[in-house]
Amino acid sequence: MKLKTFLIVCLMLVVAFSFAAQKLVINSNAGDPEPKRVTNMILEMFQAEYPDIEVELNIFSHEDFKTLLRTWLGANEGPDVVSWFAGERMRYFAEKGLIEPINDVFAQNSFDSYFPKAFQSACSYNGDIYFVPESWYWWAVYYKKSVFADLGITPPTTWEEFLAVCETLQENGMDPLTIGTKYLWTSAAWFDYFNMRVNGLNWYLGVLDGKVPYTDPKLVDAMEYWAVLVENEYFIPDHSSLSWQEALNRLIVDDAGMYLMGQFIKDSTPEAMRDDLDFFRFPIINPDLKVYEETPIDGWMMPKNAVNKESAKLWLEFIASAKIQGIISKELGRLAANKDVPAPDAHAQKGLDMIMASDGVMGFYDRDTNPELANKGMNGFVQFMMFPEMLEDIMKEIEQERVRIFE
Amino acid sequence: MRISKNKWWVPWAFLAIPLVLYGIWVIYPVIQTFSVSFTQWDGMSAKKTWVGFSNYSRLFGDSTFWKSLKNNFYWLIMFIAIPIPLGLGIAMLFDIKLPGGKIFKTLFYLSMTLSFVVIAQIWSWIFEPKNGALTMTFKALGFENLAQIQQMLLDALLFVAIPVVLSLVVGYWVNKHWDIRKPSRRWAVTFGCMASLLVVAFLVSRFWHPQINASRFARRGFPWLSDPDFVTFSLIFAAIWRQIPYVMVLYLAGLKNVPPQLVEASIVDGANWGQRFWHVILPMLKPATVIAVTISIIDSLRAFDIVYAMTQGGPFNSSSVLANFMYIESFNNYQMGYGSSIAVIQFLITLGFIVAYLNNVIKSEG
Repeated sequence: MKLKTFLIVCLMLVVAFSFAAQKLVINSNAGDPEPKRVTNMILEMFQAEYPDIEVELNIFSHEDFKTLLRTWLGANEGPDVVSWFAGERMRYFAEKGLIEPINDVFAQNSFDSYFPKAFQSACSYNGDIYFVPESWYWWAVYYKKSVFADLGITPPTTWEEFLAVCETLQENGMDPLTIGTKYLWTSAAWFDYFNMRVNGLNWYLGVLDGKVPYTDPKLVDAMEYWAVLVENEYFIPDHSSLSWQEALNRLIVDDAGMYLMGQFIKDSTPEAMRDDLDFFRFPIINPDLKVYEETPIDGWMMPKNAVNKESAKLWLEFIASAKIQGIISKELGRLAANKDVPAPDAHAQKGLDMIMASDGVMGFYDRDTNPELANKGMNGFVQFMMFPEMLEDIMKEIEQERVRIFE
Repeated sequence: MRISKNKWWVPWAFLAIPLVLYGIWVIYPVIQTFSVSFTQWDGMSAKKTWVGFSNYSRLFGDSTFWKSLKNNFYWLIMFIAIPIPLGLGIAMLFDIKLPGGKIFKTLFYLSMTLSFVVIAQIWSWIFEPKNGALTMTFKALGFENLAQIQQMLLDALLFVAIPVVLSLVVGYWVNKHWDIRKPSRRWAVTFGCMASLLVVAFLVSRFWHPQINASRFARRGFPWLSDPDFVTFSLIFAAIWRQIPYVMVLYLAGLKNVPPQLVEASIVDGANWGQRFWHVILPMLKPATVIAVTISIIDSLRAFDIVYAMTQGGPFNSSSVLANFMYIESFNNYQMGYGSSIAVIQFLITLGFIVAYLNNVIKSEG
């Protein structure tokens, strides 16, 4: 009798394990409401196409995901697919052998039959492809059309026009620029843009690669423009205690006029306001320089310790297809990485045109440079925004960290 | 009752399983942390590079470390100075058995039952610089910015609190020196000292009136969480709000252990309320006080949840404490070795206090 029970238990375990072998674990950072909804929608479509794979989707908040990813990658068994960012952030893990190359997803149809060739470098490391891009978006200065119309402002294109717009907004009792630096990365966008507009992307890439010292006078030049905004008190006064969504509130209630932010700002604006939201390209400072923009790329990668790699590759192929990327981009208003997918709406078309008219793109400060250095840098930027007179000391401290990491 | 010689192993047998579990889950990780602190490790790869003491030398040159130490020091001081007297005071109030006492006790317990993350969220709303409850209250009271509040507190401290305290001391000394017995005379002397010292303070304030530099706050109004110098105190305030009922509970239990006969005997002997409190009740509360102080020290050195949830140690590490600094370095910056060295330092500091406490306990238990 005892033997029988034992054998039944063994049989059940075997059955359970064989089912477990068909389970696909997906961890996503789509924590905000709209991306969460769309991810669940895509999941259902995947499940419909592959009914014998049991899919488990775990969605985490955007900020927590960044910390959790490290523990998953270091564990014995990890999730099968994780969402992440292209660029240095991904290469950091590839270099340590923590994610798996997925060249065979593109064995039949090459990478550039799906995606623009320009994306390939951000998705690969050492010649192998590690990352499947899903969507990308642009950064620009967002504003409310109604507010600008009321105050008779036209979107500025040059630096002088931009300063004039800030003045007008300030005279009318609004804070010209809103930002939320509790989570530091929002300040890095300003650093990126001032460098792209004053020093050009090719030189700036040297900074991101850790080859240029942070005490370089060209960086100081770029920061001087930023200092003009800070010293004129154009930013909201208490940004270091606000997250970017809380700072968005200021724009919504007309306490602030403009917001340098990525297209995902639309996810968090109330429905009624979405049509009122418009954007313009970050103003040109040096007209002789080429025009560069920020286009972070989001997508998926496979950890090396994944359990079910075959199903993971099915998911990656599924996500890479034009049909699915078309649906995602339509729902979220993002631009699909797949080049066969048109821009979903007029707003996205405008963004796409703006990027197409630019001469080059980068990802984002904390996606393109060493993560440890990024943290120190961004803390320095927030400090600069509160105490611009401390610029020299701040850059010296960041430089110390750069030397420690890269030399 | 002596345990017979051949049964010496019985206590150890009982302790065996807990000791093993303690060894695996507490001692071993501590040893591991010590060893990881001598390496450079990103927490993910299998490789750990031995770097000797370089993590520690880097730590002592890191400005964030010294800021964290300073902030922990503030936490320590304020966690002892405020919750303990206030907790004791509130516990004594409940001892008087006022009507509706039970309801108030529950209200006080309430803040203790909330998790730190919930407390952090609530206080983040209260501390919201433009529309939070605290800002609105102070605006309604007529203050325009934080500097004005600080100025008022400074004036109160220098020109009211110090003279009053001084006058109590002087009055006591004068009464003793001239051997004044009559209570009404004693009070008259004390109040006379107080009045004269307050007049002196007022005259002094005409010539010497230190001003708080308000220029930084002129635009920012009430930067409870965004001003780098003030943010730590906002966080400590939220933590103390929770710590006071905790200490109060300890003292309520301690007060129950004060034998009522002792108190009644002192009343019969003619002790007034002050003498009863100082000479009878407080000494009987010594064990509770020792526990309360130790717990407060450990909690202040351990503080992480509130700091991480409210400001993440910001703005730019101004409110960073050791635990928060360790977390960010280990898990956000992929520097487990460096983070472990911070943990070791924190461990050593806490160990110092715990050893002192245990010494005290062992001595008193003979």
